[in-house]
Amino acid sequence: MGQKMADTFQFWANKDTRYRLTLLVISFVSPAAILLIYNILQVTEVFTLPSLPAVTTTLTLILTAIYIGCFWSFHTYFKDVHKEESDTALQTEALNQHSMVTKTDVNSNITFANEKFLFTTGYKRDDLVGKTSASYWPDQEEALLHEIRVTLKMGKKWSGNVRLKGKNGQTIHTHSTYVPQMDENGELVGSMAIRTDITDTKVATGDKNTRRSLHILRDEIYMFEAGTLCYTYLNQAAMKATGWDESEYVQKTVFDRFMAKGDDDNPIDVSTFYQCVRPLVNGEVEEVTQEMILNKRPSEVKIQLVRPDVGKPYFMTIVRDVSERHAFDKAKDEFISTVSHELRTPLTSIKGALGLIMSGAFGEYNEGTQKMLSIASRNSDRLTLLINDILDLEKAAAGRMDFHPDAIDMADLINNAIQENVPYSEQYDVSMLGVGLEENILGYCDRDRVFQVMNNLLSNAAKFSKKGDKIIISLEERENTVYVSVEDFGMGIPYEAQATIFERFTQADSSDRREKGGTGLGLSIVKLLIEKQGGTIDFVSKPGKGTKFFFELPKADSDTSGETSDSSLIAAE
Amino acid sequence: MGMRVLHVEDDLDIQEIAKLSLETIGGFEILQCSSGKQALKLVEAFNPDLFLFDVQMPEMSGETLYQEIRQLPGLENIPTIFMTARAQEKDVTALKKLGALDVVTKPFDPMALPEQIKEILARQTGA
Repeated sequence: MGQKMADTFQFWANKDTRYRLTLLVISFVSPAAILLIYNILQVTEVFTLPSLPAVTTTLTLILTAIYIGCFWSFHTYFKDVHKEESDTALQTEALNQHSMVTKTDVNSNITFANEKFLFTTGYKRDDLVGKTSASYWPDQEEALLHEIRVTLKMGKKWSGNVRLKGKNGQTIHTHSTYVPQMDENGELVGSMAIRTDITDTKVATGDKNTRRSLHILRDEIYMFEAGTLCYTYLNQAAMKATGWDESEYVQKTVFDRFMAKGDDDNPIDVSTFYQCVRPLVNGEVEEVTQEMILNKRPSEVKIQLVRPDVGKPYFMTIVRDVSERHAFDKAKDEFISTVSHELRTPLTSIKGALGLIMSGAFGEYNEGTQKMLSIASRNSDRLTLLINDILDLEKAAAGRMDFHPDAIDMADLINNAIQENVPYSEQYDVSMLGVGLEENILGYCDRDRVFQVMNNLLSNAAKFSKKGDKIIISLEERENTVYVSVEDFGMGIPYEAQATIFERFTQADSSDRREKGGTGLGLSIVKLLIEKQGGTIDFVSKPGKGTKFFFELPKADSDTSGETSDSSLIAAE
Repeated sequence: MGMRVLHVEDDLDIQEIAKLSLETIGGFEILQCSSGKQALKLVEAFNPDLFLFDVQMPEMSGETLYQEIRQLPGLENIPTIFMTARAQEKDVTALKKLGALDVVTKPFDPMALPEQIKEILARQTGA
């Protein structure tokens, strides 16, 4: 019954039906009503009425006119209504085609999502309806979501760019307008959001700007799809190197540039390529770098795997000609080597001649001569030390110093270093005391390099101590490191010199260099040596009270102790 | 008589000091040459027990001299020690790989040089 009523209502609710029924009623009811009035007037005899045929004819004419008039006015009216209705439908259709539309209730629960929204985001209607709109908001946009909610609560609409999170986690850039829906009391009851997907435009604009910059780079840039390995972009330098223009490179794959077989210029084969990019594909690294000869020039090839928010993943390859860098490195190496040779050759003669005289090979000499010879000898020693230090520093800084790390018994190393510095202790009348030098505290380091560090720290401590002072050398095992400190109670480092103490050619006082015989490079070398082995070094010092240098080095795992394996022979770069 | 050492060194001052060191202090019998060419001319007549070569020399380097001298009959197995101021790790390794017994770095201590050479030779005999 209820259903029938509803159907009837539905039927009547249609404006077309209403219009037709009205005309029908007018057609039937009007003549009947007029005839009824005619009869009444005739019976009451108020007027003298014309004959019935004349009246009927007149009435028919009048009725026809009324009928036509009604028909016309109804038709015109309903045509407008019709047009309005179809316009609204068209607009809704256009909106649905163009925009992503959602409606939410006052609690931000989704009540409606149109097809376009579902298609663009990848969600199904069931994924959304009844759930909160936070489902498609990226976590990092929470502040923006809050801002929109507040604006809507105030009854205002909000427009702006909004990022949405698609079903597969992809980012969708939209331009959105949020319109509040208020009740008669001005309370928010829900809202509608209309969004335009601008992802492609955004990506294309970003891409365009990036590519414009890439285009003018000196390095060759190649982009190729990760699936097909087909080129999608080559910059100017790459096009010049390959000789391909824009219409040509899109037909080529990475094999055409880097992997052509039987060509010495292109040394990578397919399996090497896949082996090379596997860590990228597995997400283990962000970039792989390989040196190869391309167009007969040494080149550094960097490959990255780019996974864009939108579109297919692609590889980006940057090819840099490194022949200039190689030539520069070689020239620098040769320069250092030559300097070292050219400086040491005359030193060999000076030191040799002085050594022979001072050993008495040419007979006795007086005290004045002895004094002068000592000065000459001491300074030739300093010069030798300086040359060695500069070379060491240069090598360590350039990463060309080899380190051979192994599990090292630190106590043994420290004891040996103390022993080595006995001449210094005697010369400066200080005593070196070891604390906590227990066996089996194993550091993972290059013994010779750490020995060099200890020598430097111990001789410094001795030089800057007062007569009769102690120097305390301590060793501690920490969670992942071994900790070594060298503490003296001498003059300390002035506060103003503390910031630069590890820099080259800085000594607290330039007169120190003459007095104490250092080169001003020792601590820079020490710092480099420790840091290149994965350690840290620092100091605390109080002028007049003393200085404590301390460093930490990685602890050797129990399974790294024992023999050094080939793989542990690493160059510290 | 002591060991016969052929010393090739282009720097005359160093020659002088090495001569004093090796002859006076070490008691070696020494023949000194200023170039590889000269050494190649004189080597067979001298009949040395040990070569002591500088590395960086004009015209012919110590390495080239070493390679050429080993081509001569009877000199294939004479122990060779290089003396060089270019004594970075990789240089020393390269020289040893070439066949050098050891490398003495410059500046050297003339008082200790003879002893140093004797030690190197003893190590080789012992090995």
